[in-house]
Amino acid sequence: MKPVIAAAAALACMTPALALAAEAPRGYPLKPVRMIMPNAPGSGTDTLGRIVAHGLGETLGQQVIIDNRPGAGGTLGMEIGRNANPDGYTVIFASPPALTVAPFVQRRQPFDPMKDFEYITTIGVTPNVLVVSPSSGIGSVAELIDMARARKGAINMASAGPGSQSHLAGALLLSLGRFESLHVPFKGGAAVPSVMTGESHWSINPAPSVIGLLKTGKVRAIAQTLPKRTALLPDMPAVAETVPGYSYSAWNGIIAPRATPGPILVRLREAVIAVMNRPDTRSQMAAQATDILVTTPEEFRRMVQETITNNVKLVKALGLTAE
Amino acid sequence: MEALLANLLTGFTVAVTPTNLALCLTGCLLGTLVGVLPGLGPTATVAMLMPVTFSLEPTGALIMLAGVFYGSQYGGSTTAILVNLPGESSSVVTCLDGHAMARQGRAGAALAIAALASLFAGTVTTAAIALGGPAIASIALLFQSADYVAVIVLGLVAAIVLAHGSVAKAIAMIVLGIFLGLVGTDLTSGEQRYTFGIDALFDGVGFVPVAMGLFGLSEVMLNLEARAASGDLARLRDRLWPTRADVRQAAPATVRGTLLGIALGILPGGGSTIPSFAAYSLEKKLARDPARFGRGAVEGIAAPEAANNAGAQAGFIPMLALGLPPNAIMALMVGAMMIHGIQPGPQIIAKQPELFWGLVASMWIGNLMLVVLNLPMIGLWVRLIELPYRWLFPAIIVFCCIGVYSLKNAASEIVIMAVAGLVGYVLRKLDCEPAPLLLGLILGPMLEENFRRALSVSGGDFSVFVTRPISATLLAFSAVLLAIVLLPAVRRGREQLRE
Repeated sequence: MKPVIAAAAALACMTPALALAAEAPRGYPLKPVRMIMPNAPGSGTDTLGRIVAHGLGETLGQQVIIDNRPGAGGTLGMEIGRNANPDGYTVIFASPPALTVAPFVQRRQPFDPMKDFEYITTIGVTPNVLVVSPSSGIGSVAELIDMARARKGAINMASAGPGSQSHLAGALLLSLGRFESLHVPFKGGAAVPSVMTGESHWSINPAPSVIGLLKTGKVRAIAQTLPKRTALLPDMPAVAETVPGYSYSAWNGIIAPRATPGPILVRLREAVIAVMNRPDTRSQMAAQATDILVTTPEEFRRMVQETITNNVKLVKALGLTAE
Repeated sequence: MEALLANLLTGFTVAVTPTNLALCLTGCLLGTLVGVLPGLGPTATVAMLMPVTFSLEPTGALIMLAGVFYGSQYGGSTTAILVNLPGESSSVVTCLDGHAMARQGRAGAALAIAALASLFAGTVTTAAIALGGPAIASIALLFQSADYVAVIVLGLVAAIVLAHGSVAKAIAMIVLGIFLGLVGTDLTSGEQRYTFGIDALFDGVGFVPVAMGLFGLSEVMLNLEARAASGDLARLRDRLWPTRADVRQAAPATVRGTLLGIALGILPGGGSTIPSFAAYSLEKKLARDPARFGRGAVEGIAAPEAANNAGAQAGFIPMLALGLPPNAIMALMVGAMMIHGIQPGPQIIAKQPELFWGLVASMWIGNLMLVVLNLPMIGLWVRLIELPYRWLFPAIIVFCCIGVYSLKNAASEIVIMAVAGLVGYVLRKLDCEPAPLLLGLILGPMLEENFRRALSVSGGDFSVFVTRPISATLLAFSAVLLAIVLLPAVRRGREQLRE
């Protein structure tokens, strides 16, 4: 009996100690921090997350471990993140598909993006790039629109699957540019290769997955999706120059389960900002065609709300909701 | 030719620096380890190692990551042969004849053949990358949806050949596999199909848990059942090394497996699993006595092992030459290169000759290292299965669970494996082969996806399948193969009727 009692007593003593440590950022973090990644290893988002986690580990003096929880459009990972102990030892690497699309295309809404999480800061914005196959003869957004209107529906748009960034970015262009194009969904990364083979005519995809292919000459980038031109992609016009008001790029950021103590959130935010200011992070992010952007929690929250509004509108118009 | 030699010299100079040799060895060792541990795959390992490579020099980083990948192809066959448990999905077919040989007490010979076939394939594939990387890579860009449909149809027809029992049961198993493949999110509409609202099924039924359940767990159950009567399963009766006759049979199969592996490995989604299935079917079709397959035919080990290694390494061709990653691991490698500011693509050979040729040279060195590492281990491995089964089987089950869990860090995968284990037990009692089911599970979703896409792009016109030359040729070939398989069965049926 005795050892059991002793163990229980030891536990009882430890619990308040741990609770104290969670309240005061002094000494935080005392153990490795888990960063939930609702994306598969090797995906573009995963790569960005690993760059941040690596720097964050050095800044915090404790390892930050990426915990890949892909599945159901990111819902599985987001749910695990929401249900995690809000003690500052679980953070989530958030991106628009998991946070602002997946919860609105399922029969039951699995989590509430605005209520279930504490927002820490964004880390960057990654533009998408509109690519066309060289054999299509399309050289600009205006030419794409003209050709699609002239050949009604005979121009194909490849996407990374229904509800993907690539699909929604394309759908927004169809709607703002007022033209039609046959949607051809692919699984994950196969959309751009289909443009390279000439099977599809155009596709909008995250810049990091595309820029390496441009030099092959088998695919041509005609525009990017930020509202303005960017130094990351010099000589590439913005879609908005032809279709005013067009903007569809992906932010990434760090969030935590609701009720994570405020001081810890502040500590994490300072650490992330320090990482994002490091020259090596800057050059690694630039190699991923990602513009570094840090925000206040309120700004981040507003960005998410805005993205949700836009994406829900698109998802409903495309009939992707379960109801 | 002189330029090639000069390039190879550059490559070897880079690859044999002490740091790079050490990194290559580290990668190969890690790869062998994750290969031996069932389920724990190279993708997760490469992902975990990625931050380590931030601080390395890019060539060294790639050398190590590449070592993990092809190292796992060596390791994966070990458990397949010894305990009928595919360490990697690409070693599933190695179970068929490899484990049969182990049961006959010839585990040592089986392991040696697997390692040597892999070495041969690795060497040839490395040479192919060096000689014609960019030219080979552009073949991948000739394939459109309709052509993929034809490739898959050919694969499914070949699956019928895979089984060594009745054709009817083989077809039933393929169809069952295709049905399982229908579970998940519909690619065109985003609708859920047969998921019963279970989140874990939204992305479909995973191949690895099903393969491990069907082969590994059902094997454990059958062994426990059989052991009530007999002693422990595989005593080493023979000498460790393959006989001269083994080598004579394995050599041509290795060559064919290698070529097939390269051809299929460069296609997007090819990887190393499909080539291994394809190579096995091909050998069985070519064999004078197909009945030997599944009962310890050396060709049935040599060909798929050559094919999976060739397939794994051929994946580097489109990745390096076009910047197109054909599978998740190559995508991770592209990520690792981009972090160092290197853009994979056609210029990489001209702009970064040290990196390209260094990697090529390291692959050859790595393959040699793996054989040197693996051959002396064979004696140790073989002794491992002489352990009493009551100690071995709990360990097998624990490693299966760890491995499957690590795929998606999800307990649901373990449940899927357990269910597949039970189903596998029943199927094997009914003399139904699990291999065609797995092929159906892989190819079914690909077939549907490409079929629907081909028709969508053609505006519903079925003629795309016969007007595209690649597709037409492959479909014609499938029809011929199907006729060859079915005709003897029809004839036999008639003969039976007459009697």
